[in-house]
Amino acid sequence: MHVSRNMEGWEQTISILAGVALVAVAIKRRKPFGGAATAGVGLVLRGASGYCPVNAAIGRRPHARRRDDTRTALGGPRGIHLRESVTIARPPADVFAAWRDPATLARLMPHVERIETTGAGRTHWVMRGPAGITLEWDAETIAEVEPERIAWRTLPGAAVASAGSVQFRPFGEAGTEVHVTLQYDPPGGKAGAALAWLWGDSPHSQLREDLRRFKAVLEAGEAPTATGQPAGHRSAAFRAAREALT
Amino acid sequence: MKALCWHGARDVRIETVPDPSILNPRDAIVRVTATAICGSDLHLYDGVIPTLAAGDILGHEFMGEVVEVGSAITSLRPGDRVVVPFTIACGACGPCRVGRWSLCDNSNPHAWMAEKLYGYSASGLFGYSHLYGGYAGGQAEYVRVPFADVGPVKVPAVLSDEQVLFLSDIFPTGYMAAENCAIQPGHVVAVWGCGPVGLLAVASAYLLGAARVIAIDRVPHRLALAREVGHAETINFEDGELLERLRDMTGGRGPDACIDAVGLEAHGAASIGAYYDAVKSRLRLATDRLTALRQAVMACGKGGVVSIPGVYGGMLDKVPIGAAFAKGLTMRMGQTHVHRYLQPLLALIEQGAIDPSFVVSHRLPLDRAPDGYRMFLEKVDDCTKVVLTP
Repeated sequence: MHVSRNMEGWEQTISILAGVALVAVAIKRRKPFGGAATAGVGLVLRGASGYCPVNAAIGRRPHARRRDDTRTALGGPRGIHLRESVTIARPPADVFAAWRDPATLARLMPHVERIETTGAGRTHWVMRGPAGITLEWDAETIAEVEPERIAWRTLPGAAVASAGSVQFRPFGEAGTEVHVTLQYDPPGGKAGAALAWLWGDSPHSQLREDLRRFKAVLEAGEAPTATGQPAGHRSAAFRAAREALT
Repeated sequence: MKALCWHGARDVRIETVPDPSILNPRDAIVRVTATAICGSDLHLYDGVIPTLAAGDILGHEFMGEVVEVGSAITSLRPGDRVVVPFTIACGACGPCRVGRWSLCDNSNPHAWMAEKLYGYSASGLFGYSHLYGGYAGGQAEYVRVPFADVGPVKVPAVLSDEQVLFLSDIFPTGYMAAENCAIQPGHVVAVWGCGPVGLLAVASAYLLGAARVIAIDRVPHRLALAREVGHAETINFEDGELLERLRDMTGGRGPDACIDAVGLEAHGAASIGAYYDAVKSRLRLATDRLTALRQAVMACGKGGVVSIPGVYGGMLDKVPIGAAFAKGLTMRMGQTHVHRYLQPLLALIEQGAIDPSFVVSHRLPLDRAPDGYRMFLEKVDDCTKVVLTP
């Protein structure tokens, strides 16, 4: 059977939630193998995979439009929206210049392996994803107003369609407020993103940490670290947790 | 090298661990010549500060000799004798630029932990849990010092280690506690806790012009120190009627400022509040016991200041905020902006205006640090301050 995603993200979320509820009811009624439980498990699988047999039968294919086109994938309320901001004690011109330098960005984002400039306003990104997967995509700058604003989006063919913008607003004597918005269409839709969040790999906290390092490098010249310091005998649990975090 | 490592509540051990190395361009490595056990280390020793992990090296009061510097350090050279502030500050962020060094934006690599608990993260600290950065502490033979071009202060050879060691924490902490009181001529300052910070707060309050200082504790030896060295009037709170006595001693006005140099593990006399806190912290319903803070708020005169150098870590219950509001009190608190006080307080020591080494009661080799912790906690043998030499 050819299984491909034919559900909207919100449909998947509702399907998973309804399925979990049905299973919970079945367990409470002490009928863990009854009809409700079976239907519940079915709904969870349907939601998680994004494949709906009913949609397949009636030929409904909400993703017939191109999912790698940022305008259709991220238009209106679609996709995941992230917002984060940080204040940096350097003038907007400095912060703008640092942001525009791919080397700075690659150094700040531990998951980004490299960023190559491939043409005017175009870059090629290579990122290490979870479980050793490599994600690659091309992006283009769609707006650049020095030293106020930069906006970008991924080009067709990207595994994850995304678009974002960063604004540099003057703050105080010689400071800058950096406001980042980021939109992306994660694999598996919002349900996929929700599950990823449950597993602890939150894109929002990653964005915040990236901005924190950006600020530290611009202000202090280096990002703080305690990794590699001496310590006494560590417990097995501590070593396992540190392993998982790095 | 040898280092004092935490392994659980009331379990600290000397272990052999790897030597520290330069990790960032602005780092330096210091060979520790003297380090002290702080009252706030006892909170770690008791296991009441979260996110400490077995194997963590403790210690945030230390000094020594620079042995290695990172590529970006030009202000220090191997051989320099320095005292290191316990707060780690980058010197370049918004808070550092306005002198709020202990609120540095860039020195806590685990800022996300502190943000979860407190909303925003303060600076990193040496040897004070992963919440404050997970930095290895200075109760060791060597220690890595980040942002070494900003923190460490060079000290003249004519002053002994013990005379300058307390610039690392407790002298600036006692001084800032007194400065936060906004002392005016004629003011009466009451100080809860005659541990080293309380004793130095007493001395600092006089240096800043207080007319009278009243020191409160229950340990006779510490009260004697406050009286004889600090020239304070003293009250043993176990004698009872503390608030009444403070009222009588101030002509019915109450102290103009109250300093809580006790913090989250206050003992308190047998009051309902003290039992309530003890039960709640046992049941993990509350983290902090706050007899001293409650008394300070209740005792403080109208329009006065409650200054809190004592460490608090979590949730407080039954804080008489109504009393603070009704009396128009100002409350000031926080980790000490140590960097701000290094030069002026070093100058006071050089001039002979104060010698903070009067708080030292015990000198031990680093190997005996576990004994030092136990003695300091149990206050045996009139223990007020333990200095360790690696």
